[in-house]
Amino acid sequence: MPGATESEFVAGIQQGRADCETALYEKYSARVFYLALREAKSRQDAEDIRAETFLRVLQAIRKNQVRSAEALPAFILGVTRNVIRELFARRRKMADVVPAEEANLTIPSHEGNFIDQEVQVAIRRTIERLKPRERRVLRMLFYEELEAEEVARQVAIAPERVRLVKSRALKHFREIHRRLTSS
Amino acid sequence: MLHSQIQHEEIVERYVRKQLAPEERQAFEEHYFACDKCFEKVQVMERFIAGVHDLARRTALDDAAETGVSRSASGWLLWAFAGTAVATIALAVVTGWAFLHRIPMLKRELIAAAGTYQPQQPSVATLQPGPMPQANVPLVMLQASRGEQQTTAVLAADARQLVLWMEIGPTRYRAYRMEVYSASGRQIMTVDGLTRGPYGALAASLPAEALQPGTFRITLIGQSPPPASLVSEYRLQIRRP
Repeated sequence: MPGATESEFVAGIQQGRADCETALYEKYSARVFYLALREAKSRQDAEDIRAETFLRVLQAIRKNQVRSAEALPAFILGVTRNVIRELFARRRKMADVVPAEEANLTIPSHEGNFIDQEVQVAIRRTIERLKPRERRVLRMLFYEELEAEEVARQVAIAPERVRLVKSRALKHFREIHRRLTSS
Repeated sequence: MLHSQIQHEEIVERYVRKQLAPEERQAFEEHYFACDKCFEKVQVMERFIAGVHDLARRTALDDAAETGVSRSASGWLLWAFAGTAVATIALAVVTGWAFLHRIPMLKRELIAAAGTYQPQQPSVATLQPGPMPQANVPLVMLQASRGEQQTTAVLAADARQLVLWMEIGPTRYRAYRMEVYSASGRQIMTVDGLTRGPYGALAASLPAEALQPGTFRITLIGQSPPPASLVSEYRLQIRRP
């Protein structure tokens, strides 16, 4: 059902149509998974959160508990947040009795979940196009996590120039990555 | 939230870098749950930043593109090779002369001079620099964070260390582990084997160069006896004058 509206999703699911459930899942699944991964920083947890979220969303739609079809995206977001909160609450209780590593208290960054071969190739090709000073700007911004104003001061360029370097690099990266993933 | 605001305030980048205020974050999440275009931008930004991080961690980043530069400069390759060959021959001639003539001569001179130099060695040794004292070492007392509460430390440009002082209540642990995370959740360093000092507090020093301006999350984990668990969490803001 490409291009279906939220009203059509809701009506179709309430009529018991499986294709509408699938289409709803396809439209929002990546968003729910991304938010879950960002918060929980574990693919396993993110998978669980996504499954639980869609279970609750579909049950709510079938029981006509969604306020309006237009509010469906906000409703799915709200359910996702609730499921994440519940996961953290369970984890806090576990912290009293379970080793930190098992309870996942030493939470790693979720950035590893976005690295694949295409990203590595695209970023390398993007960096190759830059001058040494521009590479330094990216390193300071995104690796050393300095503010743009601080980077501008240290590299002795205008803050606007920092933003320009960043947006150009991002544009190149997007184009290269798109070519790599579509080929 | 409007697209003009998202563009103007760099909301996508700030969201990915976890720099948005809670209300802004919630508003933007509501927006991208309903907006394919913005969600796609979020995904691209995540990949871009993760890619830069990954490359910077594995290489110096500044050197990362060197291989690409040399590939594109194939016209220079022949000249570079010829130059290197000439330099290698010249180096071989100079090295041969040094091994066969110059070094044996210098060795003879050194042996002759050793007798007069030997008595001076102890006084020279005492002048070797050891660990240098440092005045005004920055020290902060961390307060366990409640909500957005954080402790601020101002590090001077020449500061080499920052001393952290943590007073904790009674626990069942003898030893603790401290983990330091950047605002984006990246682990920066860990300190193992922390034990209470004579005042019952924990103290650790961190290298100042690793603490660039920004906010850091510090977790204190009871380490021994097992099982380990989180004891307290702190937020530390670093400023540079």
